[in-house]
Amino acid sequence: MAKDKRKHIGGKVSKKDKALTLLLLSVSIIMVLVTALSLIYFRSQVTSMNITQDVDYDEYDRHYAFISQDLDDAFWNTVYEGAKEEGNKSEVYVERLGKNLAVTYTKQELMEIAIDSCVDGIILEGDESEETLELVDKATQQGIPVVTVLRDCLSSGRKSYIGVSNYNLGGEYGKQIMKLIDKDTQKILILMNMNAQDSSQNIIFGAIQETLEKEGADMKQITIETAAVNNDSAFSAEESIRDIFLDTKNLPDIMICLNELNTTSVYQAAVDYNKVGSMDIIGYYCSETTLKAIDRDVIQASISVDTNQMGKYCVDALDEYITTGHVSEYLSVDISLITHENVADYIIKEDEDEEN
Amino acid sequence: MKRTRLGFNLAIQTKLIFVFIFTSIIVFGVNVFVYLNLNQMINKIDEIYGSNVSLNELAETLSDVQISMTDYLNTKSSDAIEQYYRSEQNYNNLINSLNVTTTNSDMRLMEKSIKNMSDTYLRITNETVQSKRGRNIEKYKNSYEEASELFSYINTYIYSLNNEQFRYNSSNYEILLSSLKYSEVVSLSILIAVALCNIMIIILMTRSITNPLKELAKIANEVASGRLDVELLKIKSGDEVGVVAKAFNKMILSVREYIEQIRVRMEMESAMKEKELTMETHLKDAQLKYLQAQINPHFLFNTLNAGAQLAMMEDADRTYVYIQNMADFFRYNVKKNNGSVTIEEEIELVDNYIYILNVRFSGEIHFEKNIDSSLTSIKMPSMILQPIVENSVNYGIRNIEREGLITLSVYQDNHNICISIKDNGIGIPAKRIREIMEKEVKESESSNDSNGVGLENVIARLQMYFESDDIFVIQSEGENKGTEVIIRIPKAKDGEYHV
Repeated sequence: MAKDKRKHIGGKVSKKDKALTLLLLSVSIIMVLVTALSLIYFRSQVTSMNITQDVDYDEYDRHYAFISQDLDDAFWNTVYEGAKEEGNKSEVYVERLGKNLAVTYTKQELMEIAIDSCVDGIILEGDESEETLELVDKATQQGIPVVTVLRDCLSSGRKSYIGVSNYNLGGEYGKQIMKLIDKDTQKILILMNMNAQDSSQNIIFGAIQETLEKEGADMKQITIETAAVNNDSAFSAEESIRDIFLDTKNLPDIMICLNELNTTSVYQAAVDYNKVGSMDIIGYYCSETTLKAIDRDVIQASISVDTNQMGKYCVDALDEYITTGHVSEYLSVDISLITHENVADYIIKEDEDEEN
Repeated sequence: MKRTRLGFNLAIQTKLIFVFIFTSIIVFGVNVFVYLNLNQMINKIDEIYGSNVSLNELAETLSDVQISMTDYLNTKSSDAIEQYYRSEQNYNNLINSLNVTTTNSDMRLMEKSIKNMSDTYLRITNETVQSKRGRNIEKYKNSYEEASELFSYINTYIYSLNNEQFRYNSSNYEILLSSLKYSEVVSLSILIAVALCNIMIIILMTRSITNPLKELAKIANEVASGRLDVELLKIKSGDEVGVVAKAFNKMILSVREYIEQIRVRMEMESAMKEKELTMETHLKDAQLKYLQAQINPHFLFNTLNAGAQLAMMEDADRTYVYIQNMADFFRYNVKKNNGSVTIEEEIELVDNYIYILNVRFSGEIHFEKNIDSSLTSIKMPSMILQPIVENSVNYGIRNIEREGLITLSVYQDNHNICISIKDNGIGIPAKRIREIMEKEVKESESSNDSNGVGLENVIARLQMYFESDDIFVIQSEGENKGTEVIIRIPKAKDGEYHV
């Protein structure tokens, strides 16, 4: 019996001992695990820096250069985004040429760079200048296909033109003007680019006139005037528009803007000179400012081009030419009208785009 | 329990060395790992602006080409052409390392553009140099202009790329720097974790060394405090502690064995002593029985009865009384031979004896009784008073000239009942009293000339009967001053006398 008792005591002691040993063992194992995990984490931390060292990139089959006069314009940005998006689908990288350069080059210089960089295709905001014409031809000679967008370079060797039908655009402007015309309307002012050498503005002007006549406006009472806005040098457009507003006696009843920059400037000037309500404005494109202005009823309507579609068509045209050797000369892009009624949809869309 | 763990049979020193080496290796390994990683990071930080350096080199070589070409066009010197070819070769080598694929990374795309433009540029500069050689003035002037234009474009590209890369590298540098700080924290926590882990391991390992020691100490303490029935140590290791524990176990076992041996021996000894004592008692008992059997009382009693009847028939009254007393004297022996009697019966016996003696010695002995009759029913062993009286007669008053007197008193003294037998004889010297009390009187000496029951026997029986040593006292005040024998019958344990 005494032996049993002693055994019992011994068992108790060793049980406690075992528990302590187990505890210590488990703590050590946890520590080892923690250390190992930390080391692995540490290692991955170090190696992951390798990845940041080398830029993460994808390779593409073709390289297109996208050249526009203005690098910061929201309109061109969305065109470019559309092109880039479409390019991603077909292994094409579209580069916004000049964007990352320390020096601001002209469109022509960028064309030179694109040609010398041996890109696979050029998307160009065209114009009818001699220099551009030559450069397009030079590119064509070196086997680089060029498509023009929004503005054509008609007599050059460009493969295709992607743009709005100016006639349709003018028609749409006309319709909007008709809606705004009342018995007091006397003067309609169309802001035009002073240095534009192509005929697009003329076509728009003509189409507006034609539409107004067709719709039965009283053309004896109403005069349609054009104002040339100098957008050749920096800030000049804004100054020209301010000049118009300063001439208070000759202020128009309806003002038509044919590009985004002018729309924004006119809107700002209307607010600054307290002309909201006394002057109707029809804008161009759906930049954030314009949408806000439509929402506040400062701008009554804006005519927008489907810029995404425009970019998409550019890449499609180049792809088609490179793969088949042929492409249609003219691709038309849809026009849409933004008014106070449907502006909410665009604002939501903008927000979504920003979030994306 | 036959657990055999690795290193369980190693010496403590080896174990400790193993523990320290093991933990040191862990710490060292982790340190090396952390150090290498941190080093790698620092190297990366060093390398971060490497791309800028190589771009600067590219730009310098490009301007070397341009300068040497211009120099050649200006001077047509062979030094210049040599310089031109050398720098052209260098530039070619440099641009060959540039990216040529189309990617969505702006910087790599710029590299591609630089590479393509540079190819065009070199082609044009070569044309220019060729035209200069061929003295085609108009062509080389045109080509030079073209080349210069391209040179400025390439420079812009390199400059822009350099800027981009610098910006990118700077942000990388920031990230690296912050992650370096972060890594310091991580590595510090790893080191702390490892240190804690090491402490655990050291505790675990040293416990295997110290635990047996602790157990040993605990059990040694118990043994030291006298507990020998402790549990034996479990020997888990083969190190020094194990050896000590084994020896300790052996020691405990041996001590237990020796104690057991001593216990057995002592038990045997005490048993033997007990046996010896019992034997002595038995001997005494036998002697007593023997002494009492010395007289054949039945025969004497019957004979004396017959004599008494004869005396009565012959009208010899005195003879009849005498013989009757004799007969009573011996009947007492027959009746109370063993067991106990009352004091009264003992006194009757003494009366009988004195009567007989007075007849024999013609009334020389005066006998006085001084008896508290309330005490006479107390029990006592038989044949006690008569031998004492016989002694008083034989040794006390027989040989004196004066009249002999024996006084028998029974009285209560404190808690004792005292029976006193006093004579006025010659007395006993103190030496003799001591001898009697210490039983040094020889049997033969004392048995002489008596009816067989000696004093020693009386004393022994009294002591045995009342389980008391000082029951029997002999007092004598000197020569011719008489002797008094006092029997103190003690009160029994329950407060009663033997009744």
